[in-house]
Amino acid sequence: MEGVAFSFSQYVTQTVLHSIVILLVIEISLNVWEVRSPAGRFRYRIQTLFLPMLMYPMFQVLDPSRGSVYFITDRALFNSSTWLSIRLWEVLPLSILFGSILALTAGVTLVQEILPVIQKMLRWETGSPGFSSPPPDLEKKVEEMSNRMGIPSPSIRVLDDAEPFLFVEGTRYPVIIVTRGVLNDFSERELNNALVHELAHILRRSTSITLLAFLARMLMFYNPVSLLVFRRLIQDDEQVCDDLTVSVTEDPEGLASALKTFYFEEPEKAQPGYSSMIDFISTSSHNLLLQERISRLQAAGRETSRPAIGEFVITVVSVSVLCYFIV
Amino acid sequence: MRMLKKVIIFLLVLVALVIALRILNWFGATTAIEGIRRFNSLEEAHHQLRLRTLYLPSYFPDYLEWPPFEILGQTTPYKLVLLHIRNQESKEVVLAIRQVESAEVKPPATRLEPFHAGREEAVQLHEHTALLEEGRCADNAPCTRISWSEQSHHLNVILKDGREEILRIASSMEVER
Repeated sequence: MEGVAFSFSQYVTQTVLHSIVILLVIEISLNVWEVRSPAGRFRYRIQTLFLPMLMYPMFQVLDPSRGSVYFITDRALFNSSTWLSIRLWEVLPLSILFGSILALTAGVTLVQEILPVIQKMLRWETGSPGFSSPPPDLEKKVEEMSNRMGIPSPSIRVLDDAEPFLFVEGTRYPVIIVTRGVLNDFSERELNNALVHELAHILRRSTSITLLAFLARMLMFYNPVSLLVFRRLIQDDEQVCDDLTVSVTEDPEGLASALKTFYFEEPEKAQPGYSSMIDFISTSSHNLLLQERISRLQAAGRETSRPAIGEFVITVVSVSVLCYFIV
Repeated sequence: MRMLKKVIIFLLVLVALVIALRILNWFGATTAIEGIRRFNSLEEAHHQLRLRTLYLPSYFPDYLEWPPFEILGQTTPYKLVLLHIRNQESKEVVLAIRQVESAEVKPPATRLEPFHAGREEAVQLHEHTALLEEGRCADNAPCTRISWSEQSHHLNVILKDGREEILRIASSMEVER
């Protein structure tokens, strides 16, 4: 049992360390290889989520002596155990500090990502929200757009909610959920763009990809790098779908205008108190990400080309070899 | 040409990252008090590990190379000294001496381990009873191992040679102060 616990602590430490190194190398690679398209960036960045999770067991199978004293003294580039044993001011071991950061990340994951999912599931169990049939013209519109994009027409459901939002649910049989707020507030032009954007998610199978990324993120609930990267990936995915939308509608301004309705009202400054501060940060970051997408749509000459496979392989192989020597 | 430039920049970045990791590792090793470290000489190990006693043999078969090829040690969580001595000609590690100041731990393996024990025998060494084992080393070569406790120290000697030589080496082990 002690051996298993030791391996688990090594797994946790190494996944975090490897994530940091992978994040660093991937972000540098994006600049060196000049990967500008969101699709390319997504492909590179998703490695930061999956590689660390798989590397430790893979390395241990390839070389069971990897954790031995002789690997550490002869071959390792970086040994985490010596660093974790360093005591700050001769009192506080860095391992405690490191553990606290991981515990804090696990807490943030629980509060921000796991609890909302549980709450949503409970809400659906106690009484599903009020759905109504979509207007016939909306169904017809979605069918026409699906045909243009070469995908089967998905179902569409209208949620009785005054807040304007829309999203895709389901992986095998996707459904577009549109709120009454969208139908009331959006202009014809904005609605067209918003619907094509959701169809782009279906075309790209975003729900499945995001679900896989979310599972990886949940398995590394303690990893602060995964937390950051997952959010960045969602943003990249949205930008890929923005580009797909524009390629169909040829109306970036229409989509930008639709996105503007999703801005949250920001308080003028953070109020004292933990929950107000969290609200302030989450509102600001939501608006910043939205602003990034709007600015991108408004800028001319968006890069949409796919990255070269050779450069991608060089990056993944290099980072894997590098992480092998980090224990 | 442009691609070649990109590849060179990428490789330079990787080299810089490797150097940075090496520097961080070196800094960690010099700052940390826990964990195993390598020493350049027995004097350095003796001094830095603040050892009160270090058991060293005064008898060595002719084919051994002195000083030890590798000296590893640590102070915390427990004191440990690990010496690896090579054959003069083949430069292969043939003798490992491990001294541990705690009975409650599983110390790191020597370079000759895992040792696959065959015949076991209790032998008298000074006033202590030692366990002499004949078996095979990690590379399947014939090996002998002798283990005993003296004061608070637990000693293991592994030799790629027969029982006569290991008994001579173990019998000659004295405290180096």
